Amino acid sequence: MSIKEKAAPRAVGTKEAQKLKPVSKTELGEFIQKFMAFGVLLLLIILFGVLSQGKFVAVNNLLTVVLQITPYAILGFGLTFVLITGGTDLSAGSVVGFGGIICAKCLTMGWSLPVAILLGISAGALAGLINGLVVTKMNVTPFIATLGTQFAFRGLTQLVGQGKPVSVQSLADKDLVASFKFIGGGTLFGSIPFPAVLMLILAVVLGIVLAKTAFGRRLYAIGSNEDAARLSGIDVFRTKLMAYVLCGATSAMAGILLAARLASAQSNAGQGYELEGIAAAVIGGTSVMGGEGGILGTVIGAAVMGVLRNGLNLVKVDAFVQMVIIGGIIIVGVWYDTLRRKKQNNL
Amino acid sequence: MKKIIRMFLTLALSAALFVGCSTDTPAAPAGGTPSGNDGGGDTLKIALVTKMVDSTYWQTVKKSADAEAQKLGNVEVTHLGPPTEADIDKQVQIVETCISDQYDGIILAACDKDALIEPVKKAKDAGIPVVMIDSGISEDVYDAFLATNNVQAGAECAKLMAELVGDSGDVAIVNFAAGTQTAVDREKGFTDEIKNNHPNINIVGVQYCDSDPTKAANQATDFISANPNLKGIWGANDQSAVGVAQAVTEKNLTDRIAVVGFDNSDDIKAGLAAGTIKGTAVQMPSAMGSKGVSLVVDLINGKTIGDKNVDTGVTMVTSENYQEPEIDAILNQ
Repeated sequence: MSIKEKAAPRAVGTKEAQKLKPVSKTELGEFIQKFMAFGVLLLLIILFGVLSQGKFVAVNNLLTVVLQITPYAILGFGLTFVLITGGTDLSAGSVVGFGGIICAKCLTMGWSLPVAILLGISAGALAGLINGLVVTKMNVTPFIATLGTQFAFRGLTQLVGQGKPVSVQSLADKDLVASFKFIGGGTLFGSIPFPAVLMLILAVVLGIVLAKTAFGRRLYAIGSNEDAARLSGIDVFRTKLMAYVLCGATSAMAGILLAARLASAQSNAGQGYELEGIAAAVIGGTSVMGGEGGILGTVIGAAVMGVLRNGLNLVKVDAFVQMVIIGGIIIVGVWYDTLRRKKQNNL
Repeated sequence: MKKIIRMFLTLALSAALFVGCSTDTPAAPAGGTPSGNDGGGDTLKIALVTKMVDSTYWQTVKKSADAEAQKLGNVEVTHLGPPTEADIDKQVQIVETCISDQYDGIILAACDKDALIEPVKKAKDAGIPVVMIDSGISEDVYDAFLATNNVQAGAECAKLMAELVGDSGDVAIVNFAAGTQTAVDREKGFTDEIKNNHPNINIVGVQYCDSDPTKAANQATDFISANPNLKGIWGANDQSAVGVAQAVTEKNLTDRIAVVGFDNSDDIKAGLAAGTIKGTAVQMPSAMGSKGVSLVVDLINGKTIGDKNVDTGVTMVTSENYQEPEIDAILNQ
């Protein structure tokens, strides 16, 4: 994840930049976009810090924001992988609910916590596998394929929960309830939210996978030009499939965290979260056309969304006005992305 | 690759197992099919047609209807309904069968507010009184409508909140949806009650959580950060209340911030027991059953009734009274 932002400024500064023009331009663009999102983030933090008379920048509130963005960011990681291949996953929100409710159901059936979590994540990965197969084998466009599975997985979730929440809170084993709640909302050293730590670890791991492994690089190749990737010997089917499986797994992780925080899995959990995840990725510089993006950007994007929501709440902006503002920010983010690409193509 | 696929197939099977375990067999109409035979003598035959039959909610309605019938004597209630709420045409058929089977009265919770208008009209034309419960129809052709008045219920929540915060200070609202009639009504009831009767209470804001407890928790946390003197938060349905209670618990403010909820669920009960939720408004399906029967019998006997729209009310269950036998019965009705 760090390779790009480090490489870009170096390339600008040296004569190599001339030779590597097309590559370094892209990297420079990406850096600026990320830097831009980061700049926006800093600006928002200062703005809300002043407007809320310091309430916003209180350490406790900033930690709250980190806890608040965690599920969206984790979901956004998986979506970043899929978006980079040029695909999308509209079922991610439903998989959030599915993973959470499978995990909670396992707990109520007497399974141990690690097994329940593993089964929850596996259920998400399985959902991702189905998405991937529909997209690659059945050749249905990702938008439509995952729109269909969005309904299907939500239906499965409702079936498992019978339309009601699956309550872990009311289980007799209070130690189990306590450890489950710790995963979703516990704190380390008194104030650092545990799920946020998980999110950061996951960000580092997935960032390395994306930036440094052959699998990661293949995703970019497929997203930039699928035919060229295929002709150069990349197993497009398998690589894409893995991206969807990963997205399913991270969605389920987000769902398990949500269920854990409340010690209760809602059958409507995660509704609309796929759009939050996509927005986080896009604001962070991931292109919906594929071939570009990164995990750090998604973390920043999720932070922009979270800071906006929390900050607007703290300065007491009306709930409906907030929606308008957040919508506007997303459009501006994508508009900027489009402008930048146009410029790039002209150069 | 094959290994991976094999692994996933194994997982698929285990996942299917869970789904299989938790799926109940679809509900068939309970209480037998309407029979054309005359029950004999003066026994009044009443059909209780609900949206479905196999849920605790409707079973509660049925139980209280049966109890009322027994109390009145000479009244026999038959519980009918489609397998699911979505089987609108089945419910239409059931009502039509009730008409041809010459029931004396019908108590109906409509699966659809438009599709059931015609059947209700037909019943009325056949001289059968129809009392609607829980969910009405969009045309005023029925004899009476029994449901929770959500404006009144919201006001009840406001009264409890006022009591809990000592009739002064800042409170916030986490409503469950913007623009849904029940949500609008509850919010209006709450805010009007506060404005009109509790001038020292200040509502600092309203947020809408889309019935997502995590969003509710985030919004409640932000209310707490923005308003250091916040004394109470009202969650306007089950999920909102659970999320709000979670936020207050996470901030260790259960003693300082009162959480009032609405509706009832396992999570709400756990909150009442733990004291993280101080009170909740519980709707009364049992009142719909018993009042439904007494009203329809009055109508059959030619009595005129007052207001067509009857509020079955809510009961405020608090962390103090939830263990009392009659309140416990309501909580588990």
